[in-house]
Parts: sequence; structure tokens; C-alpha cells
Amino acid sequence: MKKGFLFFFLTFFCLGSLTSTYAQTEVYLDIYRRGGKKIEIAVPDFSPENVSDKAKHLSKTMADILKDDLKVYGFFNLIENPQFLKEVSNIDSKEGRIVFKEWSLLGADALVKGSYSIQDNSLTIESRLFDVIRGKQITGKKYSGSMETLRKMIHRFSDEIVYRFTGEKGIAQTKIAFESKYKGHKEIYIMDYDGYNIQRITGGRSLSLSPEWSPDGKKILFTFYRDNNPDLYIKDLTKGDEKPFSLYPGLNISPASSPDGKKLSLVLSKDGNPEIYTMNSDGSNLQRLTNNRAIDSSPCWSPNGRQIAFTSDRSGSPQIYVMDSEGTNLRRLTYEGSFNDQPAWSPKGDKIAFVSKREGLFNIYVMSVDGRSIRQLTSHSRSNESPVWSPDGRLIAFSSTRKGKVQIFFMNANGTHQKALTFLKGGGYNPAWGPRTD
Amino acid sequence: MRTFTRYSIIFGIIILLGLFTGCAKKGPIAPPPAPAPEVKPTPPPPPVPEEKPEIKVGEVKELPVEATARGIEFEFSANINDIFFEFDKSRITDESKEMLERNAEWLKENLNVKIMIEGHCDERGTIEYNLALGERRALSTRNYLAALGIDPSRVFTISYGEERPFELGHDEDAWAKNRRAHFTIQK
Repeated sequence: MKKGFLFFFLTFFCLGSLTSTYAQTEVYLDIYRRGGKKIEIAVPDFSPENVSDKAKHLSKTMADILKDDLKVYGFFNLIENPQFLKEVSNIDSKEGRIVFKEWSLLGADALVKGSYSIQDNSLTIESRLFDVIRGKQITGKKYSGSMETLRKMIHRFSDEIVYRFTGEKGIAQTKIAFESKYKGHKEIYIMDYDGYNIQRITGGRSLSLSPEWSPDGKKILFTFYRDNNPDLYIKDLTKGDEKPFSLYPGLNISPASSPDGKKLSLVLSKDGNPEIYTMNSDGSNLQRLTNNRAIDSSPCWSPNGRQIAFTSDRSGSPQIYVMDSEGTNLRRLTYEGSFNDQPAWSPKGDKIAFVSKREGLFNIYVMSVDGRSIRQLTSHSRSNESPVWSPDGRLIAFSSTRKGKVQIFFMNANGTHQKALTFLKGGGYNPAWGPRTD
Repeated sequence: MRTFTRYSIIFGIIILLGLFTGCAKKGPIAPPPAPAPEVKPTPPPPPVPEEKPEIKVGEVKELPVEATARGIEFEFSANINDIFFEFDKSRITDESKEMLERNAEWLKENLNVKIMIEGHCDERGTIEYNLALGERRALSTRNYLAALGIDPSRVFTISYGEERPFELGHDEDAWAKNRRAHFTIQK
């Protein structure tokens, strides 16, 4: 595949006069935290400026992208009545200013006003966030780039909005890697977090599996059956080349980067049985952590890098265990059910998502790190597997066969807002959520 | 103090016993480091299949060059037949043992043939767990053949997990056919 990567020729302006002060950030954080009630936010269609009739439909597209972004977090309530939004927008245009009182009557706590212009293939979007109650601007940004970067610009502004309300940037600019079948075998793909911009990044004639992001989001490790052995390869997303990384005889699978990026855990079977190992991120200093005749698989790091959760069938059935990252201090976490697998440690460190087979069905569950407080997140929807957390811990991506073919979905970490991200003929398997990179 | 001495003596005797039994053939030249990893009290009895993977591991380690089948091409052969497994298991069933004995006979008659054992799983269970399970199925099959006298350096293994099902159905019939060790021979 010679197509390479879609480069984003984006230039971002951040006009001094448009930005708010740090002090205001604190205020909005307080608003959100105090009541625990959702923020009512109005996102009317963006207004076109010097735009041909052909491109006027983008007004709604932009607002829709932003609304979809904000919905996933669970703490915004979108004011959805398009008629009302239009009427109040018209009042604003007539008055030549934002009539906050009218927005307030709609029930809005916050308001986003966006406008855009297009010259040749160059798009400029200006977007502002307002506090309706105080009648003040919270933040404003102006972005310009090629038309292909439209979604990225809106995602960037939604990350900014989330930052203003929570003190932590959103995840709308992150990407998800996954497996999908292409010409009869699996290849590695990447897409935006919301399922757009799907690109195949591997083009081997043999099976590629188990994608994992490098901590800087620029490379992807994956298992490649190129040479009669499941080896680990590393794909450079900026250069497009791929190099062998770990070529031990037998399995080289399930790579997982430590949170500081210095180490990697993985499963090798070179010693005659699938076991968990760690190595430095350059492949040196290989250390074996498990030593028994059972399967040990699916290692994942705690966010402080001190522990590794994994699956083992040493008790006779697959169950989830935790050990220190040197292989000591082993504890078993799951006892319920005959199949518990694929632990995924939450970025905040307090929870572990996993897959459990109960009553014949595979579903996603979450538990506290001591194995208690188990909650079921998916149900009544056939098979659900491969949970992974978004970098902010607010969402969980997973694969599901609920619509027939297995596809990638995500949901809020409390199990609400479950949504399909892929609709591919080759299906979607084994998502890996990339880091926030800017 | 006295207790300590007594324990030292007992400990010493245990170590000496270990040395004399474990290294009977070589004679006690240099004592191995304290927790001797693989000291066997008696020479291994005629191989009991699947119960001795540690020993097989040692043999594989001595043959690192041939441990993977890089660059080798394999093809189907009607002379060597697949075996099947129970759900979530890699142990060789009685039925499979008979099949492996027949396979081993053929391999003994065709000493220049190298084989690849592919471990496969049904679609249930997660992708990564099934890769590990397929690996165990392939390895336990190789270990059983080794126990039947087949040189492990003739036998390559690879796991395909649930990635290459033989049957595409989603019922027990299809699953049973997909839980297999599939044999191919070097071209």
C-alpha cells in the first residue's frame, strides 16, 4: 500500500483577544462540579460567510460533528430543538449581537457560535464558547486548513470546550486502531475516535493482528504472520515503513506499552508455553514474569506502571490476575464465572474492565482493582469483547456482534450511550485507543 | 544453636542425596547452585505424553535455528491427519492419541519429511486468548509426537487462534471442527 498517510495541513490560530483567562477556567470547573447536573449547551448551525450555496450545508455538518463530540462525555445536555435554535439565532443576527436573555430562555447554560469561510480549498472556522448566564465569552478559536481537515478542526474545538468545563482536554482528536478483514485475512486499520477517516495501514499478504500504539501515537506495534511465525512488527505512521521488532520463535503477541513508554509487556511462547514477559521499549532486557504450564495472556499495565493485570488459566479456567511489574506479589482478582479475560486498566487507575462469559454470553464488565464491585456494562447484545479505555477514562471502546458481523463500538464508561463506530464488510476487531498527542 | 546445627546437617544430607541421585551418571564433579532447577531424582521413565513439557522445552531451546519455519513452505498431505480438541482444552484426547500414533508411524517411515502443526480454535473466547490456546494445542501435539519418538526438530508449530476457521458456522458442529491441530508437510 503506497497511499501513505493523510497528512493534515492545518494551521491553527489562537487569537489573543479570543482566548479567556485561566481564572475563568476554574470558575467553569466549579459550575460543573457543584451541582453534578448536566451542562445545557446550545450549538446552533455554524454561519457561512462568503460561502457558495454548494457549501452552505456544512453549517449543519459542523454543528452536528460538535454535538456528537460533546454528547459522548455524558455531562452535556444538547438543546436539540432546531426550530428554537434557528429562531434565537435569527434574533442574534437581527440585533447584531448575542442576545443572551433569549438563549437563557431556551434553557442554555452555554452557547457555541461558529462561523466559517472557504477560499479555494482552504477552510477557516471561527468558533466561540459563551457563558449564557453571565453573558460572557469563555473561549474562542480560529482554525484554518484544507477542506479535509474540517472534522479535525471541530474535534479540536470540542476538546477545548471540554477542557474549559473539566480542566482536562477531551479525546475527540484521538484515534483508534483495530483489525478488519481484507481479502480474507485481517489487516490493521486506524480511524478517528468517532469512526471517521478509516485507513488501512498494513498491506501484507498474511495475517496482521493485535495493534498497540506507541505512547507518542506515531507508531503501531502489531503481530504479523509474514514469515511463518507470529512476529511483532512496528509500523511508523509518519514514514509509513514497517520493521521487525520481536522475532522469537512462537507467539510474539499482545504488546502493551507501559504508561511511561519505557517498557513493553507481551506474550511469548519461545520457552514452550505462552508466558508474560517485559522488555525495554527498544527490545532489550527481556524478562520472563510468569512461569507455569498454563496459558498466561493479555497483559496490561496499571497507570502507575507498577502492576500488570493479565489472564491465566492456571486455575483450570481463564481468570484475571494482577502481579507487580517484576512478576512478584501475584493475586487472583476474578472468581465468578468460568471465563474472565482481557483486563483493561482504567487511566485513572481505579477500575479494570474485562470480558466475562456468563450464561453462555460474552459481555464487558468493570470491577475495582481489588476484584470487587463488579458491574456489567453490556447486555442483551450477543458477544462483546476487547474493552479498551479512552485516554481520559470516560469512554470504553469494544467489539460487538450485536448487529451480526463483529464491529467496533464505544460507550460511556458507565455503560450508557453505546454506539457503533464501524460498519465494515470486513468487520472490526480488537480496538486499541491511541493517546492524546497535542 | 543446636537446632541450627541439626538443621544444617539435615540440609546438607538432602543436598548430598540430591547430588548423588541427580548426577549419578556424570558423577559429582561440580555442585550446581543451591535451588537446582531441573534436577531429576531418577532417569525419566519411558515418556509419558503431555506431562513433561519442561523437558521438551529444553530440547527446543537446543535447536533455536529450526525453532521457526521461516522461509519454509508447507503443503497439505493426505498421509498425516488432523486431530481435534475439547472446548478450551489443549490436552490430547484418546481418539487423538490413536491418530497421532498413525501419524508418527508415517513420519518414521518418511524420515526426511518435516511437518508444521497449526493450532486452531473455535470462535468462542477472545482473539488473544485463542492465540495462546492454539499455541498450546500445537505444542502439546508436538510433545506427544516427541513422546512417540519423533524428533522435535522435524516438527514446527504455529498458532492461528480463531483466525482461520475450517468451518464458518456458529454452532457446536462447526466449533468442534475448528478446534484442531492441522498438519502440513514441507514442500
